[in-house]
Order: sequence, then C-alpha cells, then structure tokens
Amino acid sequence: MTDKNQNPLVKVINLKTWFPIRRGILSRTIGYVRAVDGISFTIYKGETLGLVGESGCGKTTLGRTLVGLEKSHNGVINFDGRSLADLSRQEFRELRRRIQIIFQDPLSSLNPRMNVADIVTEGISEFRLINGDQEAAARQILKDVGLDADALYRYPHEFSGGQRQRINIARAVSLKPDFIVCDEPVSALDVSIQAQIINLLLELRQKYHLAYLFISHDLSVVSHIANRIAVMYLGRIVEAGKTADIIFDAKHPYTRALLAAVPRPGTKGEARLVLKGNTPSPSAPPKGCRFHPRCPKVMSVCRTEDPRELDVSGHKVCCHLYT
Amino acid sequence: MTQNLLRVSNLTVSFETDQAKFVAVDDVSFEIRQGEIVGLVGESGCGKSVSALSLLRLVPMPPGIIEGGKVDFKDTDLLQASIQAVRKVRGREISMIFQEPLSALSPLQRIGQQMVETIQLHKDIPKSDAWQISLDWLGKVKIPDAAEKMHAYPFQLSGGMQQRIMIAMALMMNPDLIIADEPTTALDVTIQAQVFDLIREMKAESTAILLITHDMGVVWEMCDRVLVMYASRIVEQGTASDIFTVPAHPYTYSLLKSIPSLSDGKGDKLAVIPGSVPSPENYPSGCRFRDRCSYAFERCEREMPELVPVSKGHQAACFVAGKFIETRNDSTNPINQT
Repeated sequence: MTDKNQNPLVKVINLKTWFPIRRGILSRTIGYVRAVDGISFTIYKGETLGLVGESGCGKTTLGRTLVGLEKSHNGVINFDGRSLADLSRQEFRELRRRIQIIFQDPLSSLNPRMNVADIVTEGISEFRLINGDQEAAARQILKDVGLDADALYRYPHEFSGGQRQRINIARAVSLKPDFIVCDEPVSALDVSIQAQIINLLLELRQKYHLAYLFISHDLSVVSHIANRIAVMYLGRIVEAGKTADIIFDAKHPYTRALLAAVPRPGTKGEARLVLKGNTPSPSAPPKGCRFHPRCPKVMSVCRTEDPRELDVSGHKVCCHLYT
Repeated sequence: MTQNLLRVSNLTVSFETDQAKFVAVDDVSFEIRQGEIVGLVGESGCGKSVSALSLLRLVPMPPGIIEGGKVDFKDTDLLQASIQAVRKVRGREISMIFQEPLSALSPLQRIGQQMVETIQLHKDIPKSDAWQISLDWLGKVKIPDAAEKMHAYPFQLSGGMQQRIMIAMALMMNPDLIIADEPTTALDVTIQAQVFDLIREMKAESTAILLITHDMGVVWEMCDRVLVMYASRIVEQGTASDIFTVPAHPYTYSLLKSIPSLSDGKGDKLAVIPGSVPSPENYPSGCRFRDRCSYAFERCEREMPELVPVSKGHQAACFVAGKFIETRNDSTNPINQT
C-alpha cells in the first residue's frame, strides 16, 4: 500500500504548537502550554497513520494544527511537496479542500439549523464543484456513506449518533480530499455502531485512495485501521512503527503500559503493568525523559537527559533503554 | 453458598412526558450475593443506569414512574419502605460511585468537609474523629499529600484523583453493596487500571459490587457474573466465563464479535450488528432485537421471548438460545479470535 519511492503527501518536521499562558493586567506571557512539542512524521498517499495517546497528550491539537485550525509556533508542515506557511490565502484555501477533518462529537459539529442536503453540499458549492442540481449531488454523497435519500431534508437532531457521524464523514468526503484528519471519530459511539463506522472508513479509504491521520485513545480501534502507529506522550511521539510491530512487539515502556492497561476478553490473569501517577502538565514537562516519573524502568540517565530518537528493529523509539 | 444480599424482581420503570410514555426498565429481575461483583452491560439508552438508580429510589419522579416489582435488600423492600428508611440505606449500606466524579462532588465544599459530612450523617461522632477517618481513607486510596488535599476543592484535582475520592467516600462506611455506574468511563486507560486495582484491593470480603458498564473488556476483567441488557430488558445472564465463552443470545454473541481486538493493521473489516438500537418509543413487537438479528424467524415477531435456562446459572431470552449454541463451532467463538 505504501510506496516509499513516491513523495510523501504530508510531511511534518519538528512541529510545535504552544499556547501562551498570560497573566496580569498587561497580559504578559509567563509561559507556554507545550501541547505539541517537536513532532515529525510523514504520511503517504492512501496510507493511515494512527495517533494514540491519553487525554491531554496533544493529539487533538496536532490534528487541528494540520488543518490550520491552530497556528503552529514553529516547524514545517508540507502538503504534497509545498509548505503550508509559504502559501497565499488563495492557495491555502484551494489546498484546504484536499485536507478535511472529522470531529469526535458528531452532533456539535453539525449545524442544527441546516438540513442534511445543505450540510453535505455546502462544501462543494463553496468550491463550485457542483454539477447539476444540489439534490442529485447530495443523494450521491449520502449513498457513499450508506445513508438513504430520505435523510436529505431532515435535521441533525433526528439522527442517531452513528448516522450523524456518517453525515460528518459525507461532508468531509464530498470534497474529494486526499487527506482526512479523523479526531476520535468513534469514541462517542456505542460498540455495535463503532464497528460500522470503522468499516465505512476502511471502504472509503479504498474507494478514494484516502490518507488518514486517525487519532484515538483506543489502541484496539487504531490497530484495525492504521498501517502505522505513532504513540504520543506529553507533546512528543515516543514510539512509531508499523502497526503489527507496535501492537505485538512494543519497545517503549509507555506503549507497553498502554497495551497492558486495556482490559480485553481473553487476557485475564496476565501480570499487568499498572502505571503510577498521572500525566504531568504540558506547561511544565519533567526534565530529561518526559515519561520518567511514571516509568517502571527508569534509570538515572532518564532524569537528566532527553532521549534521542533511535531506530530499534524498524521502530522509532525515544528511550534510553535502547542506547 | 453465600446468601442473597439483593434480590430485584420484575422491576419495571417508565417515564411519562407530555407527549408520550415509554418504558425504560422492563420486567428486570436479578440477584446479587454477598461479596460478588456483578456486571450490568449494555449500550447507551438500554436502561442500565435507570435500573441502578431505581434500586435506591434515585430516579426523579415525575417524570419517572416505578410501575411495579420488588427490590429486596436484606429484609426490606426498598420500593415499599419509607423514604427516610431508604435514606439510611443510601451511603451506609449501599453506596454509589458515579461516572462523572466532578459533577458528583460538590464544587463549593472542600474535600475534607464533604467527607466529614458524609460520615457524620451516618455516625454520631465528633468532627475531629470524622476528619481523621477521612484522612486515613485518602491515604488508603493512595492520594499523595492527603492532609493537604483535604483542603482542596474538587476542581483542583485530576479526574483520576477525583474518582479515588469518590471511591474512598463510597467505601468508608463499609457498605454491603456498591453500585458503580461507569466508574472509569471518563478516565484514561492507565488511570482506569489503577482505579480497578484499587477497588479490588479496597473492597472487604463481603462487599458486593454492581458494576454498570458498556465495556465488555471491563466486565471480563472485573466481574464474577454478568447481566446483559438490551432495549430495557435483560436478555442474558450467567457467569463471566459463560457469557464470554458460550454466549447464548445472538445479541451478546454479535456484541462480543464487534469489539475490535488488537490487530495487525491489515485493514480487515470488523463484524457488525446492522442497524441501531431502537428507541423506547418505538420498540418492535415481540423480541426487541429481531430487526438486527440474523437468526430471527416469524415467532420472534409475535412473541416476546422470556429468559430460559441454557445451563446451570446461565439464562438467555431467545427462542433459539439452546440451538444457537449447538450450531456454532469453536472457531467462530469470539474469545478464540482474540
């Protein structure tokens, strides 16, 4: 699926998205919340990168930065060979059609006063991609995501969570994008509906050769859709590699703990690794390795030195255990 | 054989609004024995939380109406007892842990105050003693700098810590039964693992837990027995190993199959349950799962299936429950695929 010879579709180099903390009457900046703090990765056409991490690790901010909803503090985002920072407003607008996003909460991301036909055709009429009448176009788009035409003139509140997420997906896919950021698209849905939406995303990926950045806290869900997985902790990627390598042969102690923490039928009685403590605040990340206060394998070097990215049997791992 | 602590029989609860009246809990019966952890699983809107709330008469009435049934706890029927009597039971003999610790704790009171108030409500002891008991419990649930945290407001603590405080408050009166409604759903997986370890460690031998969750993984991890709810009714009950290895109801079976397991990223499609959960206003006639069931036949439309025994202690509400097990071989069993 991944052709390494072709140019990457999305290439992110040392991206930082920081939020200033302001205090006092002069609103002086007294520090930064380093939500995304030096992240690099590439995504090829038709490929899915899964991004996993706990709440507050910066995964959503990263996704929002990629589609231009947050401004980056530093670093480069290349899309199809061009840096987003170098583009004029007009050029960025055209590129934005090719980069779409699906949000976690399917209801709050749909305008309650618009009917489904208007919602799913708003994008294409904005970009003047509509040929023929609006209704026919909407009907076609809905068919793609498995919704009946009788949904056309109904409003978002009339649908179930799964159907609303289908409408969101329809809106994103209608613009024929190359890349979709999926931010926890199934977390708000019931188990029996989750599977339907994941299958839909798999179908659409195949049909339109889409690339996804699939953000989720749930490793099992991510492992079903991602070709590669990146694990995020406190604004950094601590481990990345092919899905099977990450799931069955994780190297970083944090990835291992995440895998062990997921309760799954069939794994009872296995000695579980339970992490102590909470995720520290991204405004004051710990010195040295950011994971060291919670790490079961912490060494003295971890407290002082930030680990470099290493290549360990095909994974990229940031951990002193492997130096 | 330990004795029954709680026996719920034919509990039916409905809600009435200006426009409509619908049933939220329909003829639900189950029991909980001393020291047992029982899981109540189902998807959102299936009636699991309402069932739990009505045990302690916490469903707001109106719009809620308890139509019938009995909730026998020890020697009293909590549905018939006076509200004063039920209040004595709440928090002392049966305590609850809610999903959102932040909305369950008072935002205006410091942690210490809230804990002391709870103790003094049930025990006639001086404030200084109650303070000491609270402090000890914060230590037991592994809250760092407990003495300092007694003076903190709930919003100053992380979600995991808030939930620990809820657990401490639920356990400190040494109740016979804890009702935990999605206690870890709002928490990260690594924090969830800590909370479960804590509940297991802390609970006394004889304390029983009714654990309400939508997460089959959690049930597997924690529970001795399982009740599966679908569309306001219990459709299957049995031991955890019955439910996971030989699920007898097509709903349980498909639900287990649709849970994504860790995979190698080859992009294989997941098994799905077609359609969506019906809303209580328009439940289908007969079996409420029939629209989504691949085994449904004409009788399912006419008749509502009752729970029938499949094996000892294992019951399912399905006309093909027995045969359904026989027609499956082991390779299609969801547990063998993980």
